[in-house]
Amino acid sequence: MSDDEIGGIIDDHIKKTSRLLPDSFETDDLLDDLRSHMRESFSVKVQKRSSENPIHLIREVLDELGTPEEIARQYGIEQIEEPDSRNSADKWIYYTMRLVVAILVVVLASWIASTITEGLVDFNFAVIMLLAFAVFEWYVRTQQTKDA
Amino acid sequence: MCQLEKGLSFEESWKIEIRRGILQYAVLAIVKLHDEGIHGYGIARELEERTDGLLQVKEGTLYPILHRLRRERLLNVHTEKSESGPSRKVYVLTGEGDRVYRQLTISVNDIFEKLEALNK
Repeated sequence: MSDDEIGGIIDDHIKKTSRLLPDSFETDDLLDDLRSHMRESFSVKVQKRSSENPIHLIREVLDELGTPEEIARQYGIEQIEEPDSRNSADKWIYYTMRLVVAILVVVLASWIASTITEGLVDFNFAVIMLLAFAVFEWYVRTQQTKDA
Repeated sequence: MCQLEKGLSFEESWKIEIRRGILQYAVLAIVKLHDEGIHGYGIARELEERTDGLLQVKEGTLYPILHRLRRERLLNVHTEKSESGPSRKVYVLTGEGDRVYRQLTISVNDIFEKLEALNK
């Protein structure tokens, strides 16, 4: 059995596991860990039992690793949400400050864009566009945080 | 999660619950034994050997635990070249990890001491 075939079996297991986990940087990192673990475990087995069929050895590696469902279940157990230490008054101050800073940045950026282009970029249009981008960026970030 | 454990005897489910908590502590203990750090595969091997299989787990389930301990800043990670080809992560205890481990050791000893007293 070639290295490619072993790689294919490993890739297949990784793919099945990835389908059960959220799409995030942490998941990619976890999948990399699992991949190098399987490689390492397989290589140790081949060194110790070189006469055995590699397909049996890689199956043994997968069995010791656990099914995608078992790995995903443990992942779920470890995803305990960290308690938010801020009380609700602090939260309001925090979000208001963020909103004020975001609006200031948008107004300043629009004024600069309008001044540099000598009015070619309309100030009001720039404010609306930048605010729309800021809302979109906030939405994407919220979704990513929720997934992770 | 509980549904998956349905059908197990009370004793079996109890063992699973207890093992969950102990596993994080055991991982910290193994990492602490290796000043230069240890990779995930090594941790899985040591867990099996040092606990006579008592804390043997499906090896893939160790990585979510390692990631959690990293998120809690109890473990740090660096990469090294592996003999099997691609680079692998090596886990080391952080200062905070060392402090938490020592604190947990006191708690664990205390718990076992009290439990032993209950049996007398």
